[in-house]
Amino acid sequence: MSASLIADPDLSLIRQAQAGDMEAFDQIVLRHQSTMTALLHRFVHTRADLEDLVQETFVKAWRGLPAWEPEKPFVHWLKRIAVRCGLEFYRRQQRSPLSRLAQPTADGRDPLDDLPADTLEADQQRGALGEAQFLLSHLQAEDRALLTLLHLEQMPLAEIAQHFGWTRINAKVKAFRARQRLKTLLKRHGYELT
Amino acid sequence: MNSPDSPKNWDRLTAQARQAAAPADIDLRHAIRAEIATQAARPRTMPHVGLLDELLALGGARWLQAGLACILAGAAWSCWQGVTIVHELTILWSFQGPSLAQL
Repeated sequence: MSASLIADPDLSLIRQAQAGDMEAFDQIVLRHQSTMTALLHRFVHTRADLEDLVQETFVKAWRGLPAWEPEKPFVHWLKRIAVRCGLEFYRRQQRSPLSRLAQPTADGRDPLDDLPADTLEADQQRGALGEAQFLLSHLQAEDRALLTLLHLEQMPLAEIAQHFGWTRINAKVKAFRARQRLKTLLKRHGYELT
Repeated sequence: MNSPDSPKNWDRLTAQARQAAAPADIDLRHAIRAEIATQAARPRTMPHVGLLDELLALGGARWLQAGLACILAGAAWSCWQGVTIVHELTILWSFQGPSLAQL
């Protein structure tokens, strides 16, 4: 047995879940849903969409469990499913003219999500996230997902490439082009990119 | 978010956006379990939807659209040239036809 097999704390639960044990899968969900929520929170601006994405991620993980290879860290595998769900969400949104993001209001509150923030600082942070998501929503789905992960999640480009199945060179080229398009977009909206 | 008196800066905006906390009270175990049970109960429908998504996304790619436009332009040019060649062959046949008929 390799070291990664011993190190993965989820292995016994995964084995049980692979055998169809839903209780074990519940435990896996309980362990990782906060991590997946934190990641997918960068992609969407409403709680309903966030819940849908987290749910979609775990349902896909359940279906894909038989294909999971113990050599790969489970969290990494789960993150891959999550970011692909995020990309698919952006593609669906791009095809639907009704689901365009609304511009955040001047006070930073997202008009589609009226949950009150705990503090003024939290309110401003949520407003900043909404504004960044609104700006990125003008880009193509792939650029949008790539820049969301790069700028809002600060995920290394090599990891993004792995998740989307790109080579590192290809990822670099895509990131360069996406940044160029972002620059043009930001200029149009009066932003400067240092 | 950027304050009104300072110039809008993307890096500052994203730095602040990264501080936004995700909702901590999300627990979707029941919803996930229900969705898995629902999917297990109904037959798997449209496994090609993912592929369709990919194809539709590909259709929006500028390089593909430019490539298809080039192919269409090339095909149109070939057809136009083809018409000229056929026309020339017709003329040649009209000259050669009678002598060939005599063979």
